[in-house]
Amino acid sequence: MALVSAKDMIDKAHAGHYAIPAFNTNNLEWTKAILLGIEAQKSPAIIQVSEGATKYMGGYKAVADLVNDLYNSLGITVPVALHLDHGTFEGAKKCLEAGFTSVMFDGSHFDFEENKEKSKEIIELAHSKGASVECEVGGIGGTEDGVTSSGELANPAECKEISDLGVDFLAAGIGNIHGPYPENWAGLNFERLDEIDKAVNGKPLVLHGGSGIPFDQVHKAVTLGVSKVNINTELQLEFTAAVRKYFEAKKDLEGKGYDPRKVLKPGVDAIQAKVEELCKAFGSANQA
Amino acid sequence: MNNDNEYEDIEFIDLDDDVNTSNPAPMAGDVNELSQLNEDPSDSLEVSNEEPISEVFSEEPSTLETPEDLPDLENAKDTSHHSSGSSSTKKHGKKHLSKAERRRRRRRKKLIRFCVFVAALILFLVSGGILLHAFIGYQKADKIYNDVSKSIFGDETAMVSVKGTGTNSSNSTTTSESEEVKLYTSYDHTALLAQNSDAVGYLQIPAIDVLLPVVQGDDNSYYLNHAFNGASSSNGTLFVDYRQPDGVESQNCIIYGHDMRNGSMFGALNKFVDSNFVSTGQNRYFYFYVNDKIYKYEIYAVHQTPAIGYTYTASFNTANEFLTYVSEMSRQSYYSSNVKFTGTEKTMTFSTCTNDDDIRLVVQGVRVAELDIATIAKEQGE
Repeated sequence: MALVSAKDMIDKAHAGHYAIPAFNTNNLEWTKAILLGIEAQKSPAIIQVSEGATKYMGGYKAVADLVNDLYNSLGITVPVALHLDHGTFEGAKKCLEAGFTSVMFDGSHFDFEENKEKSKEIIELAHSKGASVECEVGGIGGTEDGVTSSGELANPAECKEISDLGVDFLAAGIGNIHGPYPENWAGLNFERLDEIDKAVNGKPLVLHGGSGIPFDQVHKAVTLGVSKVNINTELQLEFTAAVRKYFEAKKDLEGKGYDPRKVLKPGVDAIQAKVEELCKAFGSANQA
Repeated sequence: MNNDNEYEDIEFIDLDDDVNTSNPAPMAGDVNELSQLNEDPSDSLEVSNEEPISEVFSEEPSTLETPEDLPDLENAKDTSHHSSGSSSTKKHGKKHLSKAERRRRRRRKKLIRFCVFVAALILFLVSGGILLHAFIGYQKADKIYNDVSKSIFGDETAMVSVKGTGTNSSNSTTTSESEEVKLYTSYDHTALLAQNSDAVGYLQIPAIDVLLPVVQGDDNSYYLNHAFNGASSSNGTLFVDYRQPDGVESQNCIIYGHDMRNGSMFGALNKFVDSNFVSTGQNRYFYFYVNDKIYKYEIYAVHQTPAIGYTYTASFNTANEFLTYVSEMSRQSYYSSNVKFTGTEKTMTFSTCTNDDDIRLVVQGVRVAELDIATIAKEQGE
C-alpha cells in the first residue's frame, strides 16, 4: 500500500456525512502516534504538515519519506494522505515533487484574482500528478505561518469561483472568534457556512482550527458540507501536559527515566488517545 | 478556533517573519521619511560628534546604505553647500580628487550616521513613550483597585487570621493546615454594589496576592478594557461570563481576567502551573466574598486550553454532565488533586491569556466551604 490522494476519502466522507480528521505532525513520534491511532480506529485520515514543520523536520522529502516509510513498516492498512497545510505557491510545488499526495495552496492573503490564478496553476499541477488540492478563500482568522488575516467571513461568490476551478476541497472563513475573548461564543457562523455550501454546490469544505470546537458544532458543520477538520493545537496541548506531568512527578530521576524514549512516551500515548477519541467523534472511525 | 498552525512554527518561521515584517517595516518607513525630512544638512554638521551613539545603532538600517538612497543624500548635501555659504569648507586651489572624494565620503558617512541616530532616537522616544504609557496605565489601575479594596474592607487591621478551616464541607484534603490565611471580616457587599451595580463579589487569592472586585456585564467584552469604576483601562475588570445568569452560583462560574505583565489582575495566575506551588501550604485555596459569606474554594485543575471549547461550558443539564466535565478537566490538569466530586458541587474557572492568541490558561477550583463572616469575626473576638 502507499499513501493516497485525499480526494476519495473526502468525497466518501461528504456522501456519508462524517468528517476526515487532518492531524498536523511535527516529528517521528507524532507521525507514529497518529498512524497507530487511526489504524486502531480503522479510520481514514490525513497527516498534514505546515511549511514551518517541514523546515523543522528537515525538508519536504524528509517528511514524505518518513510518513511513507512508517506507513509501510507499521503495516498500516487504512487510507492515509500526506497533505501540506497552508502551503505557499512554491512550497506546494516542492511538496508535489517530494511525493506529497495532497497540498493546500493558501492564497487567501493575495487579492482575489491573484489567488484564483495561482490556485488554478497548483490545481492543474497537482491533478497531473494524481494529488488532491485544497485552496482557501477569505481569512480564517489568526496567524497562519506568519501570515495574519482578520477573521473575516468568506464571500460565497468567491468560493464558487475557486470551487469551479476544480479544487478538490475548499477552506472558507466561517469563524470569527479571534481576539482576546470571543464575542461570538458559538464560534462558527453556520449561516455563512450554509450559504457557501449552496454556492459551491456540494464541494466538500474544510474546517480549519478544529481544536477545541465542541463536537456538537463539528457535527452541525458536517451536515452543512464540512468533510475535513484540521486538528493541531489540541494534540500539542495533550502532548505537553503529559510530558510536564512526567517531569513534575520526577520520573526522570527514577531508574533510567532520563531515556528520551521514556520521557516522550506519556506524550506520545496522549496523542494516540486523543487521535482515537477524535476519530470516533468525527464519525470517521470504522469507515476505512 | 482560528487556526492551529501558528503555534508550531515559532522557532522556524515566526521569528523571521517577526523580524522582517512586524517590527522593522514601520522602522524602515520611518527612516526613509526621516532622510527626506532631514535634507537640510546644516543639522548634520552639528550632530556629527555623536559618533559613539550612532555606532551603537549602526547595525540596524541597512536600507540607508542601498545605492538608491545614496545619490539622494548627496544631492541634498550639494545644494545645501550653496545655501549655507560654504563657510565650513576652505577653498585651497586645486585639490586632489582623492581628497575631495574623501571629504565627500566623510560627509556622506556623517549624514548616514545622523539619519541612523535620528531614527534610533525616535525609536527610543516612541518605545519609551509606550513603556511610560503602560506604566502609567498600571499605576492608574493599581490605584483604582487599591481604593476600591480600601473602601470595601477598610484598613488592614480588620483582617483576621484563620487557620486552615474545613468547616461545613469535608472536601478539603488532609494536609498540614498550620499556615494561616488572612481573611477580611469587614467586607461590605452593599458598599461594593453602590460603587458598581454590575459587581457580584470580591475575589481573594492569597497565594498570588489577588484581592479584586468581580463584575458581570451584559457581554464578554466591555470589562476587558474598563476598570471597576468605569474608567477606560487596559487592566479591565475581572468578570463573570455573561452567559451565566446564576453568576457565582453557577455550577461552573467562569471568570475572565487579563494576564497583565506586571502581574496584576490574573497576571500571576501562571504561578499555579507549577504543581509544587499549588500544593505548598494553603496555596491551593482561594476565597470569594458575597454578601455575608466567604466561599472557600480548593484548586482541582490547572491547564492550558483552546480559547473556545469544552473548558468554557457555561451550564450542565445533569449531574452526570457535570461529573464528566470535572473529570475531563482533572485529566487535562497538570496538578493532581484529591478532590472527589459527587455532582452537586459548585466550581469556579479562572481564565486568562497566554502568549498564544488561541490558547488560554485556566485555574479551576471547587467550593469546599461556606464561611459565615459574622461567625468568623465572633470566633476571632473570643
